Amino acid sequence: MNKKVIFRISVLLNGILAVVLVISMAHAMKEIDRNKENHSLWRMANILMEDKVEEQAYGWLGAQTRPSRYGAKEYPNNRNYYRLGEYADLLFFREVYQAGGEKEQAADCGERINELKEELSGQSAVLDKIEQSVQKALKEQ
Amino acid sequence: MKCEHCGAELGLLDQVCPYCGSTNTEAARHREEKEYYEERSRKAAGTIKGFLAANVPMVCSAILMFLLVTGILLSGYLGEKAYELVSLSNQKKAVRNYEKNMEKIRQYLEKGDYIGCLMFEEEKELRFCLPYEELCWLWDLSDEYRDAVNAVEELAVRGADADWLGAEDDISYKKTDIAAFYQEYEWLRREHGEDPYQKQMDDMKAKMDVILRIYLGLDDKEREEYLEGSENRQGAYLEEVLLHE
Repeated sequence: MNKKVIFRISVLLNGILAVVLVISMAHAMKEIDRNKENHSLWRMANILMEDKVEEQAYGWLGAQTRPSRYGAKEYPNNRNYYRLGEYADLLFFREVYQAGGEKEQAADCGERINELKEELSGQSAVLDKIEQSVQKALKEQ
Repeated sequence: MKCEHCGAELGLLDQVCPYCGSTNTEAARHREEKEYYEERSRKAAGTIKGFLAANVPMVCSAILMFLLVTGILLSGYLGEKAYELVSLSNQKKAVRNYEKNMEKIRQYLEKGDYIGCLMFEEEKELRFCLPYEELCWLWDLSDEYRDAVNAVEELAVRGADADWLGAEDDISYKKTDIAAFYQEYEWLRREHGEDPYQKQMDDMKAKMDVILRIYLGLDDKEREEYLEGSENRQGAYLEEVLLHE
């Protein structure tokens, strides 16, 4: 095998290696970006929340959507359910604050509850069901 | 070496003794050897230079190949270790932003929002950073607190017409979260009673007591009995309260 042939083979190999390097670097950058975005699991799970509303599992909705209130990345198609979940969670905690004598926190919850009632005025039937479920859950009034 | 005639110290290549003037016969041999090895060295350097000059493209190609392979291995390593690298970067950021983060944490703790404080820690990955070490037990307990609160909320807050498939399984699974919070609290109080955030941990427990009282109907005495009971008894109590009303 003469020098020219060896040289051509090495050029071809270098070309393939260069392509592999570009793909490998792109993959590494994508992994780093993906990890930066998802690193602390700070993202709401894209769960089918419609089922939970149909099951009237409002407590589940309240608890599992809580990360969205603290800045977790939301999925746009679930936005309405995050608000319903927030409503249920606030009702749950308002009772806790009132029973514990934490008037300021209870008042803050009340304010936000009223805001959500206005925002979700088209879903008053669901909001009523959520309120009733929290009242039903109370073993001490 | 020494002069054969007068014994004076001579250099290896000195032809004549500078003291007695006699000829140094040994020097000739050393000089020959020196010239021989210098000539061989020149020839070898010439051969290498000739080879490189005749094969510049091949040599460049080999160096390039080496660099490409190194680059591929390095980027592969970076991709594999992306999680650790981002973690390390986040931890360095956490240390740099210590004052700002602590101010935010204080705000959460003043409001009694322990779940919020925990979520802030999770977002910023503070738990394993040295400056935040004194908060680690508080966050551990907050983790259990969040699970216990979620358990009660998910079990208790359901619609009147709710079709609760797998209710017994849900209760069986979540009852351990409630007990786990109290176990963790008691353990921390026993082992780390001097914790700087003991007041906040006590407040967390007080809130949990309120939750059990208003949503599960357990006053202080009943709560103690409930927690001392076996897992089966705890499950039976929850089924009674949540399913059979």
